[in-house]
Amino acid sequence: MAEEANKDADISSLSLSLDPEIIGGQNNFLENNLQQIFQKIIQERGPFRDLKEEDLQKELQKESIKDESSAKSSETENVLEFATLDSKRNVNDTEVESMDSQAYKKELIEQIMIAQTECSLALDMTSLLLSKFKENSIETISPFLKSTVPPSSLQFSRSQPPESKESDATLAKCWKEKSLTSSCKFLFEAKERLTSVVETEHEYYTELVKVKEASWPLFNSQGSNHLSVQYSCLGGISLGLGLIRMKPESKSFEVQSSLLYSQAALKISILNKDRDEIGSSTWSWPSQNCNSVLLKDIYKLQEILFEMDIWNSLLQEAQSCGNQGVNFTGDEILVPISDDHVVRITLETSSKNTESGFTEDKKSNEDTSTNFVTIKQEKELLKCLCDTLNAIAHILFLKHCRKSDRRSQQPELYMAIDANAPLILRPLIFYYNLNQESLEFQRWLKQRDISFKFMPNYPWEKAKDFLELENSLSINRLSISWRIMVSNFEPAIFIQHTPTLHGTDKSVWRCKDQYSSNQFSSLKNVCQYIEHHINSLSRRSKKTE
Amino acid sequence: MSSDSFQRQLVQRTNTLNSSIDNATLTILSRFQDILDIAINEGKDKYTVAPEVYQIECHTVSMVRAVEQLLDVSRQIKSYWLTNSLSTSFPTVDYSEPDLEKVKRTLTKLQNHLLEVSLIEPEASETTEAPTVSDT
Repeated sequence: MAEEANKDADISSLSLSLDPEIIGGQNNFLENNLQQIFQKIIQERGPFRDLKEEDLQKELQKESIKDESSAKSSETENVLEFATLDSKRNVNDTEVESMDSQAYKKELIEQIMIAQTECSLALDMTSLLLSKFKENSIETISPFLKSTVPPSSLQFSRSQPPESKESDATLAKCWKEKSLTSSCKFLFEAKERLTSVVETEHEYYTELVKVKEASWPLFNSQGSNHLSVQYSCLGGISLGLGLIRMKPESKSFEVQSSLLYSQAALKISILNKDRDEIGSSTWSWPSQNCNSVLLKDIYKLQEILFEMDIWNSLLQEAQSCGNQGVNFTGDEILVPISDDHVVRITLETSSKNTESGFTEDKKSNEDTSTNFVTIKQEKELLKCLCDTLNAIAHILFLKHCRKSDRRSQQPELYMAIDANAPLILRPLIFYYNLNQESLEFQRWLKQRDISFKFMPNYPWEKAKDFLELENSLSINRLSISWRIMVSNFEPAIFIQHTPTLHGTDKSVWRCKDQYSSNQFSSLKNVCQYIEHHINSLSRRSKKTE
Repeated sequence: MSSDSFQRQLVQRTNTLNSSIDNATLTILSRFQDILDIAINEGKDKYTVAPEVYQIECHTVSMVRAVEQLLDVSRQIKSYWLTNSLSTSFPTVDYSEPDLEKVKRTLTKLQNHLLEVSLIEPEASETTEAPTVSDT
């Protein structure tokens, strides 16, 4: 670029004027001294670095045009151009110079300040060092240093460590003694603390051993140093885990569980047509003979969970008993047992004992002693009925919890019904219907003055333990024998009634007399058969006469 | 879990506990020995005694921590025994024979409510067979 610029400059300098005299003069400059030419160019056009090729080309074009017009106009334009270029050059130079000078000044001032600081510090230190030997050097010390450091304080000397004293040994001994004393104290405090911890843990694990000896399963709790106990291992369907921990207030142990209720019991009531309670029974578990408070809590939780589970099972079963007249809500289950009476099943969650029993009317006070005895007997009977229903419900739920027993002993039931479905309400309804059907049959026979013998054979009568009792309550098929004496001179009719809890054959009546053997599916047909038999006998007796 | 894997896990657990016990015991003994070693000040200046003061305190704390570790091992052993040993029996409901008989009688009574019940006669079965013989 610089070479090109120089060439352009040479060209422009050559084309400044076309007069022979001027051209000749220029040639002389070239021949004589090239430096002078450069100086002249610089004087006329400024520094080389400011020259631009475009500007020079424009000038050449203008000069060619000017040559064609006139010399005066060309001189005027040249002057204007020079003036323009000069003004531009002046402006650029001023700006560049001003910027450079400002930056340079700033940098220079910073350097000078640093140097001044270093010189001042050197002067201070030098003056302070010489102040001991030369009095005039104090004058050159700065006021700040003079006020803080006394003169002649800077010397040519070495610092020595402090000499050992007799008290150093005593000091070290005191330090060590203090350390040992504090360590001894710390150890004694730790001993007391850990002894307390050991005692507490001893009590804790002693209680846990009692729980384990009572055959309750224990588990490690994640994220906790305490153990958990499963309190639903016997009769519950829910998991039933509770954390065993110490109460900080009373220093006793408790089982921390997440049960919804603090107390729960199944309650069975009998309502009359006016929905008044005429009999009730609230379940209560027998008290456990144990001295451990923790075990008592666990048994209580087990009972609560058991009652909650049995209630949930009853609700679940009630959903499939709608065709048998069972109605249920979230709070109660209603099982109709006659036109005027309903069995109500609820979960009692309050601690208040609401076992009211028989509801007495005002009129009962005016009854005679006979009526009073009757009412009392009825009350006791209703109470007994409710207690028995409650007991049977619990027994059947226990059987439901033993799934393996049911699966192994009654495989046909396992295939027929859902293994997880509870079977509590249906047996109760089944036995009630059996009672009503038998009662209806007896009434029909009595109306016709027919003698009979009712010989039931209930499955629980042969049970030797409670496990057999549980199984007997869920037996699918029963066998009840009847003996109907239609006449004093004719043989009796033997009837075998086999009601069925599950399956298609709900009730089968097998009738056998001296002439034939028949099978019926309903009591109505049996009654018709007996009537037909009686009519046949009467016709036969007439013929004989 | 198979018995082999259970045995391996049991051995590993035992080794871990033994190692913890050994480490804690060694820590207690070594720290106690260190405290006794630096307890004497003879031939030491105060600049040497000063750091030993802090060493004694650190060793003391280390001893206490080792004891706590031993307690933790004891706790683990107890918890392991309580949670992993099998029980030979399960909690059972306390029933008795009189209660069973009472329940049976009550069930029969309620089931036969308002019904006239007759005892089953052995002769009834023999009488039943008689018509069959006559038919023959």
